[in-house]
Amino acid sequence: MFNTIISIIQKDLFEIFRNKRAVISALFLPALFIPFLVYFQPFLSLTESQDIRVAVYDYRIDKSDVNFIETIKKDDRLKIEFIDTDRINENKFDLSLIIHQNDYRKKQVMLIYNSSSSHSQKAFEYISSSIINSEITDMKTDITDLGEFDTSNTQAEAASSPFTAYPWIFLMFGFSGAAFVASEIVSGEKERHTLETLFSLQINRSHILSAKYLAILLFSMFNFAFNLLIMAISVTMMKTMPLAQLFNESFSVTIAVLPALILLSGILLYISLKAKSIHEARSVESVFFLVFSALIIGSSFLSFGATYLTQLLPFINTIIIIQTMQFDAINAILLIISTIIPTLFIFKRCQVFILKDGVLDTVTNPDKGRLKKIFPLLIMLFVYVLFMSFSDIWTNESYAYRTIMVQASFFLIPALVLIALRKNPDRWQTFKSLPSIRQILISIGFTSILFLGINYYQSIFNELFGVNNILSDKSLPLQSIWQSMVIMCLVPALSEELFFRAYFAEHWFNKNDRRGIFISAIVFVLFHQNYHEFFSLFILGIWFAYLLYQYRNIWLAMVAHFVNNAFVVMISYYQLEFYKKHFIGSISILLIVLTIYFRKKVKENTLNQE
Amino acid sequence: MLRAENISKSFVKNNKEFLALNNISFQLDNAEIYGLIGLNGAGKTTLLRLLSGIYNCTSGFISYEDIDIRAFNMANPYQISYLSSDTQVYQRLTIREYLSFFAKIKELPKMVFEERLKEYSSKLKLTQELNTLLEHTSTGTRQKAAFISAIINHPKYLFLDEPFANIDILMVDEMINTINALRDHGTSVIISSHNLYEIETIADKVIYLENGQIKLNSSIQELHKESEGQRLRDIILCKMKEAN
Repeated sequence: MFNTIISIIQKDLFEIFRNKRAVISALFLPALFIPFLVYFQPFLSLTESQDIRVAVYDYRIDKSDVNFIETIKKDDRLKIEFIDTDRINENKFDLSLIIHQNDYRKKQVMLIYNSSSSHSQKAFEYISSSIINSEITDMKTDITDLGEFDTSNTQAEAASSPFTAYPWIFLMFGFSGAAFVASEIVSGEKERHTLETLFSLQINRSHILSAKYLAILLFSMFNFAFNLLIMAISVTMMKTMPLAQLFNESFSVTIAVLPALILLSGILLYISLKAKSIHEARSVESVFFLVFSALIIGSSFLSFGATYLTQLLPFINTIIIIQTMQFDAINAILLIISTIIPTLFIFKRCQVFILKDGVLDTVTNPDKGRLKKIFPLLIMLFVYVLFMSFSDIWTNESYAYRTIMVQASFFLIPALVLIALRKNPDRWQTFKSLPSIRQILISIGFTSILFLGINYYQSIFNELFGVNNILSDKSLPLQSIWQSMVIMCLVPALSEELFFRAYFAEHWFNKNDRRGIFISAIVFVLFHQNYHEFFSLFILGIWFAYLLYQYRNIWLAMVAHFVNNAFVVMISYYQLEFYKKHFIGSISILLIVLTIYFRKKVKENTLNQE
Repeated sequence: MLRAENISKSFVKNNKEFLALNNISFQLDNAEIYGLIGLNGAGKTTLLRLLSGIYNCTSGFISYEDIDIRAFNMANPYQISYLSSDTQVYQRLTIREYLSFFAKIKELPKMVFEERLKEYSSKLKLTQELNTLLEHTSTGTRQKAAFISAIINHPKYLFLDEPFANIDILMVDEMINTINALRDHGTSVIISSHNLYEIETIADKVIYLENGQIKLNSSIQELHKESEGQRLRDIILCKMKEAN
């Protein structure tokens, strides 16, 4: 039994290492990419400024009785910002101050340094003196290393580590390597009918499956080890981290990533076993890769925090462990439970499937166009990673400047370049004609009704889940309404429509297949990073893409987007509340439903007449 | 001795049940060569896959030497060998590695493997190419390599699906000699082919499948006798035209 398994693994690995594409995608790409990331990592953290910026996260329920906050507020050497979301972007501040209320209602203050900032120590001194001076009686201050704070040690803080800055990198490269191998050695064997030969040898099929699984796992582990080595070499060369810490963190990363690779290999085995050709396997894997990357990159930016629930989510728990660099017995148990159990389950499914006749079914004429269709998704992913990593670099600039820079550099320019690069001669078709008055009226009219309906739903949702309402609780960052109209309505309407609709949704356009609408809407939601409004954004994304598909005109979608944003600006500017009224809300939702219903009816009738 | 009793096989395609083989019974004696012929989609490949245990029968019973196929495989591993029709081999292995992989899986001692590798590669003119990667070789060479991988351990039962496609006449002759030699050692063979001349040269008996049923099962000699020396091709053509 072991001999068979080892022979198959040996043969598979032999084949993989002779495959230039596998070696390039698994080894050379990371080797090029990782040093680049390590080099740019310090730039991601704080851009030096004159202010000493302190973030205050106040997690108490009763916020009335901490007098030292009043003291430090008066200290004009500090720039205090109160943040009421989860702890994100700590490295943008010189110091973070966290006020907790534990189970016994005792309050605790924690100070977190930012090692990449030179102001961190100063801020620390100012604040700790404020805490000591203010007579806090009911408060336990938890500044454990108060006296030991030493600037030479700041390098050892988590913020300067490329591992914590890019916790997703090993999972992503591990995935791409393993996916290539899985489609080659499982779907490839199916497509080339060599699996049939293996079956005819009457080897126990579970052994074949185990061998394939182990080959995928071994390659992804090799891939991981290689990436880690490249990371270690670049960190050592650029001296961004002391060696001892590098070893420690590499060890934690290894322990966190390996279980994730075990589960990933299982999933990839299942996908490629089910696929009827290499191309099918690759396209399913690409879609999975996209969702997977959005999940791990998104979770690393949102900083979920280590609760029992988040630690039970596979892949996200890996990200959490790498980010916090905390690894203990409970972590380990949760990690194992969250990866081994699903892996066993998937393996069981594979075992059942491999015994069926259907496992040998192949498609004789694989549709090569499908892979091409996936390509924009990969571009989206790339832009998404850039967007998540670099959209914060203009934080210190004015709101208007920041918005224009973000919109232009992530949406407008990429969209124009990508559309221009397209080979299709009709690529500018949706720009050529201007919409008719009737179409514009439809677009404005339905967008208005949609706005009312969606925001009515959103206000109910927010009330139910206690979320701050974006419309009433956020004051406008710009003074004049005309400025707001340009910066918050016109610019996004132009650039986002170009990117999400004119480039992305248009790529999937097909008269009879409207899946592109939904795919572009999902991507639209992902970029907004506003998960409370998932549904509302999704509906808007569908509506804008529908306008493009229905009327083949990008200007209409821009008009609709502008109208929607203009409503948002006006409501926050004049502090209007009419959209919360049940009467208006329910009427508009009814109108939306009726419009969709009659639209469908009319369409069916015209189809029947034809 | 291989015995198939009332075997049927059905598949579900596009939510419709489709009967590929319908109640087939036949017997293959030791050291005999069967020719399996039939139009495309008649069920030849399905039958060979059932006999080699890749598929399970929907109903019916397949036994080797009077024991069930699974039990037979447990007791005599690797004695049933099957060569698929469009095997594209492992592209990134050399021919030697490819064959040694199968020898290892079939637990063939290394000495024996080297001996047979030498024998067959010289017979089928592969010696020059033994260390070439399969992706750089011709279709015919790959077919030959796959053929050797199927017979390298001298199995007791050998099922060949279209073994002569893409191979030149000289090599077909060499392969036929090899198959005959194997038969002389006691191997029972079933060859499916569209090329009735080759079947006529090599086979002792012939099975003609039509729409999943056996329409003809008799020895070639008898056929010749009955039809007064007509060629196999003409006999089968006649049968096909009758059916249509």
